[in-house]
Amino acid sequence: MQKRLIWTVLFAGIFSIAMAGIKIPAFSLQDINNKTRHYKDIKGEKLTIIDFWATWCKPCVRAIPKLSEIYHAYKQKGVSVLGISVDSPRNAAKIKPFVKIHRMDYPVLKDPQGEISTRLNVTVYPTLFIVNSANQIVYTHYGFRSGDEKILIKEIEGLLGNAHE
Amino acid sequence: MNRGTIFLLALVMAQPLFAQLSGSNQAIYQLGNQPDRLPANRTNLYDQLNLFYGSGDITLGLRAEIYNTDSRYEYNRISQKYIAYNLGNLQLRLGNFYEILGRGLLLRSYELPGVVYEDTGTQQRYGFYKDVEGLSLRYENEFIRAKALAGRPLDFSRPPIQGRSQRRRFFVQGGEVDFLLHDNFNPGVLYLRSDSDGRVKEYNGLNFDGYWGDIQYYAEYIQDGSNRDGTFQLGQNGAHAFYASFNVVYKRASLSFEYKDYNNFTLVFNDPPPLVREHTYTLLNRSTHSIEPNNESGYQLEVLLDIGGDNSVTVNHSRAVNHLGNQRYTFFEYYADVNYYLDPDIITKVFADYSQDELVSQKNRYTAGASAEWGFGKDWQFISEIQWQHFQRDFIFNPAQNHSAENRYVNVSLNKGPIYSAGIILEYSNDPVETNQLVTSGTLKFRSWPAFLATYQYDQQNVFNLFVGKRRGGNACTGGICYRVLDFEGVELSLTTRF
Repeated sequence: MQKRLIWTVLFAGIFSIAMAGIKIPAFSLQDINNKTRHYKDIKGEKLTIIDFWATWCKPCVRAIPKLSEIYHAYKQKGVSVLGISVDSPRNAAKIKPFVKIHRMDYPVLKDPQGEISTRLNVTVYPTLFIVNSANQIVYTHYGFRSGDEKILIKEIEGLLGNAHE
Repeated sequence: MNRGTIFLLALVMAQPLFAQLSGSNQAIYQLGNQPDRLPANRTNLYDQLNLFYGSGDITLGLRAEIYNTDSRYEYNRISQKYIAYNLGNLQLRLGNFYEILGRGLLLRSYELPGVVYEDTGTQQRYGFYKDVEGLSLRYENEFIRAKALAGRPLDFSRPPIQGRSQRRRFFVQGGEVDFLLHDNFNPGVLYLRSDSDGRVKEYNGLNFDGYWGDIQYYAEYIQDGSNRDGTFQLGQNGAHAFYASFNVVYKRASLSFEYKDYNNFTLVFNDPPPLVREHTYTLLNRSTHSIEPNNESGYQLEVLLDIGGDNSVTVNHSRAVNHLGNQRYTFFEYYADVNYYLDPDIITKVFADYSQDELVSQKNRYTAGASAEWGFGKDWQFISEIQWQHFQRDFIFNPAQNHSAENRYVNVSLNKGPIYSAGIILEYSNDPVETNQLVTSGTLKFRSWPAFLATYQYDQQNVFNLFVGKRRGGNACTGGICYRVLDFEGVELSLTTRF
């Protein structure tokens, strides 16, 4: 028991030296009208903010208006926002009304089987990834509290600054 | 240490050599037990490692799970492995996979990432996933969208100790073809054959979906075709499942309506939509209605209103009727909430709920609550939440034991940006089921569950979570899936890593 415990802790320890730059796999999902969309066709020229959200998630509702503001403010600078709903079939009928009422005017895709969220080990909602043009995750943000949009904007500005250099 | 562990360790240590190797790890250590089980200082450690390797159009995936405890129920195994090949319009996956046919009336395999299930009897802890082991194919072009699969679905209700022969005793083959004719109308056909110990069942069905601007619909009908008479069995005694939904958005209001009719349709590998609102409020989440696909019909109606300034109102009503034996059981729920910004830095939410669920003998169930989030300073947030519930429990066969009970919930937490979070949860109940008064006539008048929770995001890859105190068991619903959570008293520390 003790030996196995040591190995397990060692496992976790090895991962704590984990490398940055996890890559987003090439993927396609259906949008709110059930049309298949490919990530490569939606992503931003320089950066893409991917928001994993659900209709039942309270903090997700807080994040959406701020993400819309970011989308409009940075669209011309090569930054896009992509919402990925992780709602199961239980809430499938509510996704389109939710998107419209909460004015999510950026692309929204559905991941009811968790194909992408599982692949990226998304366990907290919302989870926000900022992804660069090489499809690498360069920033991860768990949850959303009032004021978190300032942190996101600071990261975007920093990353755009690096991209310009 | 077995060969699988050595292989995994070698793979991980060689990680820098592989630019396209990624993955995640979740390690959860517990010191404690259920309040009524010994030893009280029981320890266990659950670890789940997921590795992905991608090269061109090929992806390899592997999952290892380790459960260490001082009992015969510990294990150390590779629980998933697959190879996936993406060839333009065709996707092929061999090994463990997730698939859904239609809306899941016939087949739905899924995973709840980060959720660890604990078996009631053995207390074995294992990852919450219902996958299929076999072969899956997907093909799509502008006219057609097709899925085909053959494999053994996992019976998640059976813990790992029961072995593969029991956990994967079904073999299923089937698929779905959707014809992409027009935005307004896309018909599809579904078929599945299941075989368990020579007992063969065949299911077939149809579905339709489409939209006109902001109006959208979906309908699906599946029946057990094993009787081969080919007749539709809607509303009759034959095994069938029917689901339909409709939603519309008009200016600043939206409406969604769903209808269900399930009969003799409890399959190991399906997950029909329950048509009950998915709540995140703890007391409502715990007292949700669990569907009974052996016989259940009903509907759900939800209205969502944009009241300006990022504020919204949700109104929901759902109703279900079960005929089990000679008894008729009715569930209904009326729910409303308001999400309102008092100020850009102060967000409030208020809800009220009235429901009845005769399947669990609860009537006149009133629940209400409020939450507020206040942002202050540079990046500080204070969150508070209060919930209250009162209900009546009536026993059909023993009215002398009828009673009413109350549940209360309070949560306060303080966060500094996304890095630090600390909070306290206090739950209270005088429910005789919780205090064991129904079976032992004990003197305990109420029970309480105080707990302390903290989260620390060490860096972009590593997040620590700490729980100290008592966790109330009962129903829990995550991502649309409801399951049983056991009581826990002790300390739990988890580390989630993404790399």
